[in-house]
Amino acid sequence: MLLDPYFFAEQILNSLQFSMLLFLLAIGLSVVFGLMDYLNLAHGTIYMFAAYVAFTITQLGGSFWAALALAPFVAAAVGLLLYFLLLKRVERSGHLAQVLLTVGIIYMGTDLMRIAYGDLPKGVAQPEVLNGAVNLFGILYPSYRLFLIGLGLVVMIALYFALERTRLGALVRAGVDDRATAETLGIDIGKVFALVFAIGTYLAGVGGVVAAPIFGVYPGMDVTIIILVLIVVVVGGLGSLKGAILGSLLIGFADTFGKILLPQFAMMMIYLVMALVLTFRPTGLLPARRFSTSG
Amino acid sequence: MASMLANRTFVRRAIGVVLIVAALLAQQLSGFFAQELIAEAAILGIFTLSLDLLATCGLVSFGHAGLLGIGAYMFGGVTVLMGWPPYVAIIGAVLAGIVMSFLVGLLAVRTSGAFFIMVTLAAAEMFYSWGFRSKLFNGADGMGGIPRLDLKPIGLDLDNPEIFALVCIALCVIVWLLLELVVASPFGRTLAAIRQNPSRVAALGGRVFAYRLAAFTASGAIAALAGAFKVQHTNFISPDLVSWFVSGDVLIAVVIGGMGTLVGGPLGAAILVILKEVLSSSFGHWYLFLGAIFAFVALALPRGIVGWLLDMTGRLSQRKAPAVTPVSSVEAEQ
Amino acid sequence: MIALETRSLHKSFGSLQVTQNVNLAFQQGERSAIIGPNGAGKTTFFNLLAGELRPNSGSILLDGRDITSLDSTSRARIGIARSFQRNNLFADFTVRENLALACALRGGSAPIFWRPMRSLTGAHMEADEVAAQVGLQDALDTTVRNLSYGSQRQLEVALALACRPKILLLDEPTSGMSPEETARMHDLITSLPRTLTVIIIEHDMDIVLDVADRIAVLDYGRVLEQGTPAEIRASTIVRERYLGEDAFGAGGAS
Repeated sequence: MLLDPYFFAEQILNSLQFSMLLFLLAIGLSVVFGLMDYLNLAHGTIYMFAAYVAFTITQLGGSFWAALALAPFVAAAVGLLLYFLLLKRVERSGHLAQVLLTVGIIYMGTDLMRIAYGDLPKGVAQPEVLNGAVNLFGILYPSYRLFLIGLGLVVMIALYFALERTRLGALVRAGVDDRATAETLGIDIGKVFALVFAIGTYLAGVGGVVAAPIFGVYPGMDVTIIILVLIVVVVGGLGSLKGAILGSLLIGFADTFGKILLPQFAMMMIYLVMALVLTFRPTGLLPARRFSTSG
Repeated sequence: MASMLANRTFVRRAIGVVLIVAALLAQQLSGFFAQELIAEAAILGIFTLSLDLLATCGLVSFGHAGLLGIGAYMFGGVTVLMGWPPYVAIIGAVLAGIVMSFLVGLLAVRTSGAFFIMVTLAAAEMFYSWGFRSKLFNGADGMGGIPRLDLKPIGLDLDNPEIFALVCIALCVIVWLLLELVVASPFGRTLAAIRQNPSRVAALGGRVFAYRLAAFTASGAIAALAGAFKVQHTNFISPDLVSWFVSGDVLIAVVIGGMGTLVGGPLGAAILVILKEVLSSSFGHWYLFLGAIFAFVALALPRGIVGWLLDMTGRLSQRKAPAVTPVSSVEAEQ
Repeated sequence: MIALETRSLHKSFGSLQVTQNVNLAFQQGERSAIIGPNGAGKTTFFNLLAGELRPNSGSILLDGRDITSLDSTSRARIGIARSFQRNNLFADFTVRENLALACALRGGSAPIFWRPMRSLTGAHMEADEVAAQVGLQDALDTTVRNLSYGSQRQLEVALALACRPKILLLDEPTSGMSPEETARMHDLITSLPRTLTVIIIEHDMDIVLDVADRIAVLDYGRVLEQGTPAEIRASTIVRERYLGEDAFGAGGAS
């Protein structure tokens, strides 16, 4: 089956598409973790929340594009609210406190969505204009999924320019590299944090909206995705754009091909990739902070 | 009296004794249905002890449900699928726990802190997704008919809920006493030193990786034991046993009680089981409430109930001034 | 007899060369001091000796045996012990518990899990001895958190001594200490047996000139000058680059 070049090509595209989705979430989590040393497990909750908001928008008669335009902003707003009200309080309390708090938020978030929307999965319709399929090298590939791949690429390029060419990007990179020094240089690290958090959350929201037509909207989608995103961050390394890209590609491909080759053990493939990477690179493949700080 | 209060070990063990007495009283005095809750709390207590042992060397696992599950599935497999007696299954379960935690530990223990949390979570998730799909154990539908240990030769019928609850309490007490011994031993002190300062332990010639792996393996053995008894309690195996909520629940139990105090675990387990019972019957959405507790503990009670009690008694007994020579003018390092 | 030596030792972080072609030999029983301005790479050099860092090239030999590939734990086990520039102790343990653990690790009784720690009478006796050696015998039951800074520095050295090493690396042992505490540390260092080879990083010139048999001056990761205290005093290069004319007061060659 795998030997059929068309099937193979199709799976590569599927892997790419899934990688893009993982990337949208991973980059936010990774930079927040790398810059703020904050392990925010509730990142997936924002993703889920945005998906539900998108569902509501479409239910109220809005189009997919309206949902894509609005829901991520709503998600980012909620994310920022959570940050200032709750998350910020354990910013310096260590990872365990952050894990406990954000898992608490996950628990609450999942149940809240259950209360508001019930247990059954909901759907969000693809936009009509992307309903068809495109003939790509002899295979008929759904336009919507191509759109997702394209969107991911656009975001990657935009983030690259933002990080490498803008002042804010330089501040972020400096903060990830050596926060203490950055602070002594007079950079208002608090504002940078809030902005980075907002952007990361916004991207997670975008992820939630674009994932909805493919994967559906259901309570528990937050947990399913966050586990994979965590693995992406572990494998790719903290705080770097390249790490997030590489990690997303690796896990995206491992997941897609794993499900085909060994359906019962799909997760095993991913675990093997992670095991292999961590054995040779205990801090991930391309972490932003590479060198130890001894004098 | 003050010096007794200042001795944290004494206070902890005193709390432990109080808990045991309370558990026995509860078991003797309460009705039929409560026996089930007591057994559940005791088994969760054993599970919390396994997590707390690991926490003494500074490793917080977010995938312990996986180790619970190994014990559970092995027990079910040996009894139902292979038809062997339960006591063999228990040994098998513990062995499986040792082997699995050793293998996972080989990878996981090389990382620490946040990465360790993520790796253990991924490992448990891997097991969960296998359990979901595995035809061997009926996947998501689960498998029933798990028998209980046969102690009739010594006059204990574990099918009687009261006897079963007592046996579970006894098991929890035994595990606790064993761990008290381990924690006070040179090995346990080395683990505590590793939690405080792993690089110094390494610089003193201690093989940090080996100690952590040993702790992880021991923790896995105990978690698997808890798993073996969990399925005996419910007479049922399903992949829900291995869901990440189970990992979260045991973590919250340990944190409520007080991480690193050993007795905190079973205390937190009892609180969790009681709360769950009271709330889920009167208030459908249990996880909303549990999440709020998680958040509250993270924000306000990071050392848990026992941790807080220890701090209180420590402060009450603070009469003796610490033996301090005059502080030099340059305080370069705190 | 050379106890420890480095050959062409080189370490860089990216394009930053922190240790450059360092060739130093330390004789058995010798007291050596490593001095140099801040950022000269002194602590990095110690990290390389102790095994916390791997060199990019070059080798380290202990009693003639190449130990370059050994990690810090292995080096501690074959006799290289160090104290740290910033206190690196077990803050929740008492002084006794800190030392007893170090002795148990050295003696191999740390893995015992079936008896309580207090049953290790040997380790505890050793711990008491080391505590007395550094002057902490009255603070044995004090938790490190409650210790004064100076006492913590003493414990820092005591932990390294508890390993019964062949090579003792002391990283700025008197940093932040009052004059009395510094004097006590000086006495401790001079009282150490000559079976021990001692290498000290220090900024306090009084200690260095009094205690050291040989001094190596590091600058930008390179060895600027090596020699006896008299030779270093007389060296114009050292005076220009590091010490300044009046560092030695009266008695310095002009």
